[in-house]
Formats: sequence, structure tokens, C-alpha cells
Amino acid sequence: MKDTKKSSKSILGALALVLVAVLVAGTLILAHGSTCHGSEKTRINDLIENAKEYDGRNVMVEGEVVGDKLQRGEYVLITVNDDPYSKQSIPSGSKPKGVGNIGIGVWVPNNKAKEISVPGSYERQGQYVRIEGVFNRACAEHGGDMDIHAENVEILKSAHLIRHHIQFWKLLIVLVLSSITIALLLAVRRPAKKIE
Amino acid sequence: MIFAPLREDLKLIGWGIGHVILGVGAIMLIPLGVAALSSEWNVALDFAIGILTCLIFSLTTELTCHSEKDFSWSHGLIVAAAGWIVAMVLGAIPHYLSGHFGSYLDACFDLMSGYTTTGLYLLQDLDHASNGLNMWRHLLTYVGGQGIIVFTLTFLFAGTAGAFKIYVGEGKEEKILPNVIQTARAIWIISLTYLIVGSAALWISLSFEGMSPGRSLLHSIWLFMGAWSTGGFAPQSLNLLYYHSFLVEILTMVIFVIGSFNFALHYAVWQGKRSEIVKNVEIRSFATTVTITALIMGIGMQKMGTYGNALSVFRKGFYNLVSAHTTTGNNTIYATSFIKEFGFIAMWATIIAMAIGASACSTGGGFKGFRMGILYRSIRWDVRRMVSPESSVVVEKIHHIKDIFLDDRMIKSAMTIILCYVAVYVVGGILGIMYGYSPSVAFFDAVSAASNTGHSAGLVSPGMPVLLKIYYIFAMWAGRLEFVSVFALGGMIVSLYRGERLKRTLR
Amino acid sequence: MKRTRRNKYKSRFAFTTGLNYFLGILTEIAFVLALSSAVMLLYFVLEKTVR
Repeated sequence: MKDTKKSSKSILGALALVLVAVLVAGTLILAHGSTCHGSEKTRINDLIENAKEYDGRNVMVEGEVVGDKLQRGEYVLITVNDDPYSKQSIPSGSKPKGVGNIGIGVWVPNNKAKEISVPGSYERQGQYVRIEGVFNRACAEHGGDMDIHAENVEILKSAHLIRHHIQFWKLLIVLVLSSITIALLLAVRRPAKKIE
Repeated sequence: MIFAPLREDLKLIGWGIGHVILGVGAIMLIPLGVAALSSEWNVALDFAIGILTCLIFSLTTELTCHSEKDFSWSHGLIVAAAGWIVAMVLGAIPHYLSGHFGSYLDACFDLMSGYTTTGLYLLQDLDHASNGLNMWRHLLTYVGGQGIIVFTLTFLFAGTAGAFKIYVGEGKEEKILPNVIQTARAIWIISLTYLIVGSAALWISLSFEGMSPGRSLLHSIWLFMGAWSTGGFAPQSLNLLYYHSFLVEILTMVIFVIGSFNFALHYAVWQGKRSEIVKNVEIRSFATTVTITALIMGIGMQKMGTYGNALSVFRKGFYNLVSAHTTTGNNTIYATSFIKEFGFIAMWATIIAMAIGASACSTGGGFKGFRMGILYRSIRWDVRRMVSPESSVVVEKIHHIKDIFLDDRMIKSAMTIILCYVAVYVVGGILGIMYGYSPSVAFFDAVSAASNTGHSAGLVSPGMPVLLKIYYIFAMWAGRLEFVSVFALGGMIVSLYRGERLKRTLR
Repeated sequence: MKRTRRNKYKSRFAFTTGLNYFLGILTEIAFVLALSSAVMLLYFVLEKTVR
């Protein structure tokens, strides 16, 4: 009787030990994982709002490349947005989310910019990239612009074309309105802009 | 005693508005074409719906409101004021159908902002907007800058005697040429010539800055339209900061300063009276106030110390200040930078610059240089009268194309309008404060809307309170039309309900 | 004969108009550039002298 009690106690103790070990290991792995993947990621809005604190510091931002890829000497200038539309834009079916675009100009050295290809626009969702680099509140090199000088660029997701299916309900409205217009034109009969 | 408008009056007004709307529909043909050329078929359908609705409205007024009468002064003012409202509601159709707006009110806000060349916007996800929509945004600010009425006068009204009365209603009193249609055409010739010159210069510089030829062509036309009309729209959400280009900033600055000049001044200079550019009261007023506000801003920037070198002070400080003073609203900084990087003093220097604004009979808004000139001269006149012998006759004159003798009536009307602007600024600012915005931000955006500038310190966003959206729409509209037409419209609405009815007894 | 002379006057008129427009545009651009440089110059002079 005593023995069984003792053994069950030791089993419980062993179980508890294993549980603690698993928990500790789990938290450690999770913590490690999160430092590897994005605990340093900064929202662009934070950069703009707290430019003084971030000035000159190394930052990491993730977002969609939009607009143009502008060649400027030894740099390529891109704009990176990390607003809600950077994952799904309004032309590709997102509803208005009550905010505008939030983006920042990024100067990428030519040798790092080779993989950057097609920026986002009406026709396509641009590449989703991770930028690591130095944030400038008022970049002395570029006329006081707020920008990031990239040191590392990583493509997280490739660009894709947005398919614009014809919205037939709009076509229907056009047809209805056209017939009303024709009817009115017949009713007016005289040319619409006779004023003399 | 006020008299209620007769059925004939209402008919005449409806007929006038119908013509203005026909003009709006005609302008939409251009973005329709751009959308079709870019194979944006859904966008093209949006514009087709817009055009057909305008056409139906116009035909309905033609059917129901045909009148043989010609416009009187009050008709003209009311057509201008109400025409802009209807043009806003119907012009917002393609905007709303694009899906970029949270509500129809937001779309109307953007329309009014465009027509009045303000430049504030509630459009969401601009960076993914179609070419057709961008064309429409910039085109309506370009046409709005010249005046929708001027547009319809040029192309639709075949020369009625009452046309001038609608033209005046739109906040332009200048008779550049004896005939109003010729005046309207002169305004268009100046604007179109600059459109070609300015867009070409921008096209070259944008190509030089690494943009592909096709996109840079579209961007150059849009940037020109935004800058020339002192609207301040740009095709990307970062506005002028998107280009990170000194060349483009210089070009747009030259364009919006020239765009803020009085059309009568342009006409005089183009006719060979080139010395007018240094003699004109509005130019002198602009040069004085821009210098003063720039120096105040300089003091503020020194205190903040954000922008270290000369180039940054020019590109961030001076550029945005001149953009504010000409009531353009093109900017090279983020909205919150006005608070965080400019600081209190520089921010209020910008507010003062916006409040003063551009020239009369231009595309700009604000008090206008002409009124500032009158204000200054009237004070000087008073001082001179005080120190002169009692029996002497002291005259004061201002130079605008020709010398004009100052009289009390001119001073009074200038003061009244300035007072109206101040009232709209203050009410907007107080409303913003009541909604919990900081006073500087609330006044910054309220002045920006009522002076048709378009700079924002962060208040204007799709999430702003509905009442503020409506007030800002009103402020933009009233500020652009310089209040007189708005009073006329208000007076008519009141008299509809409270005026004496004459119809049965007199006719 | 009459017609050619009129054409000559017409083209001369067009030329002077065009020239005037061109000079007008140049005047306006020059004025803007002069004004902005003057303000910036004044700013830097004051910055260096008044402290």
C-alpha cells in the first residue's frame, strides 16, 4: 500500500518535471522563433509618428512595392506600403478599410535591387518585400526626405496580376440609362443646346 | 419684405444648372477615353454611367425648365452656387462606383475638393487606383480651377447676355475682355498653353528621373493639372514626396505660383505689358506676405532643428510654405510632420500663409492678394488723412492692370469677404477642437479646407467625424465661391418659404 | 495682290502674338525663380547674422 503510494508520487513528480521541461523548452523555442521572424519589424506609421526616436537607427519594415522602380545613379528608389491594402488592394477585391495608404521611400543599392521587378498598381499586386536598413528622419543626402537606406532586401511574396472581370450589373445600368436617354432625346426633339 | 421666387425664376435656374451638368458630363468623356485606352473596362463603365446620368439630368431640365427669360444677377449667382452642388453629387458617381470610397459622402467630399482646387481627399488605396479614376480626379481639379462655369460658358452657352452674371457668381469678377465669352476663352487659352508647356517640362524631367515614358507622360499631365489649378492632387499617396526629386519640385513650384496669378495679370503680361508683373498690387502683396511668413517659418525651423542643410530647408520648408500660400497643397512631407518636424511656429506660419492665399480671379483661394492690398492701402490712407491738413484731399490708389482709386465701398466689400473667411476658418477650427483634435491641427485643416489649400496635419482622413466632413464640404464650396453666391442661394431658399407670393396678384 | 498683302500682315500679327506669349511665359517663370531665390537668400543672410 505504502509502496504503491510512493511509486504514484514519484510518477507524478516525474510527469511534473517533464511538463515543466516541455513548457520551458516551448517558450524558449517560441521566443527564439519570434526574434528570428519579425519581432524587430516596425510599422511604417510608427516610423513617421516617432521619427525623432528612430532617426539613424536600423529598422526592418515589410510591405508591398508600389508605383515605380526609379533608377537614380547607384540607387534604385522604390516606395514600400504596409497599409491594409498591401496584402489585398481594392481593385483585387478588398473593401475600403477606413484608412489611406501608408508608405515610405526606400533607396536600394543597385546590386540589391535586381530581384525587385514589378511594383503594385491598378493592374497588379506588387511584390511583398522585407527591407532592412537605416531610417532617416531628414536625410541630408536626399534633400531632407524621410526615407530608408536599405542594406538588405528580401522578397517574401512575388507580384501577381489582378484579374478584372467585367461587372455585368454596371453594364445593365448603362443599358437602362441609355434607353432612358434615348427616350428623353426623342421627347426633347429640338437640339439640346439651342439658346439664342 | 422679400419676394418668393416665381415659377419662371426656378425654371430659369433649373435650366442653367442643367447646362452646367451637361458640361460635367462632357468632361467625363476624357477619363472614359483614358480608361478605354488603358483597357480598364469596369472603370470605363463607371464613367459611362456618370455621363448618362448627367445627360438625363440635363435633358430633364431642358424638358421641364425651358424658359424665354434671360438671367438677372440673382439668377446667375444661384445657378453658380447650386450648379456646383449638383455637379458634386453627379460627378461623384464614377468615384463611388470605383470602390475606393467608404461612403457616397466621402466621394462627394473628394469631388468638392477637386472642383474647388482644394486637394484634400478621402479616397482610399490611391496607390492602386486606375488611370481612368486618376484622370478624372486631376481633370476635375483642372477644370474646377478655371471654373466649371467658365468651361460651360466657353463651350456650351452660345452667348447670352446673362452669361456674365453666372460667371461672376463663380467668384471671378474680372472682365479681361469686354465680352464674357471672350474672357472665358482667354482664360482657357492661357491655361491650355501652360498645360502643354508645363506637362512637356515635367515629362522630360520625370523621364530623366527614371520613370518609363508612358507612365511619366500620364504623371506629368496629372502633376501639371494638380499644380496649375493650385489643387494639389497627385497620382500617388505620398504626393510630391513620392518622386524624391528636386527637379520635379522646382518645376511644380513654378507651375503653382504662376497658376496662382490673376488671369487678368497673365493676359496683360502676355499682351506685352511685362512690367505689370512687378507693379501689380497682388504680386506685391504676395511677395511681401510670402517673405514674412517664410521668415517666421525659418525661425520656427531653427528652433526645431530638423532640417540641417540649405537644400532641406528649401525643399521641405519653403516649398510647402509656398504651396500653402498659393493654396495648392502639394507637399513633400507627411501630414504629421507638420506637427512633429515643423513645430508650432512653422505650422502657424503655414496657417497664416494658407489664410491669406492667392490672387483674385485665379485658380486659388483664401483672402486673396487683392483684398490684402486694399486692406494695407486703406490703413495707409487713414494714417495719411490723419497727418494731412484738414482741408487737403488725400487720395489713395492701387495698381491692378490700371490705377484704381480706393473708395469706401471697395474697402467695405473687401473687409466683408475677409470677415466671412475668418468666420468660416474659426468655426471649422472650433468644431475640430470640440471633436478632440489639438487646436493647431484643428485650425490647420479648417483653414486649409476653407482657403482651398489641401495641406493636412492629419485631421482629414476617411475616419473623420461625419459632421466635420459635411462642414468641410461647405467650407470648400463657400470659400471657393467667395460667399456672395452662397448668400444668394441661402436667400432664395429662405424666400421660397417666407417670401411674399406675388404671382397671382401681379400677373 | 490684295490677298497676299493681307496674308503678310496676318502672319506678322501671328508672329508678334506668339512672341509676346513666349516672352510673357518667360517673364512669369523668371519672376517666380527670382522671388524664391530672393526669399531664400534673405533667410540665409538673417540666419547667419541674427542669432
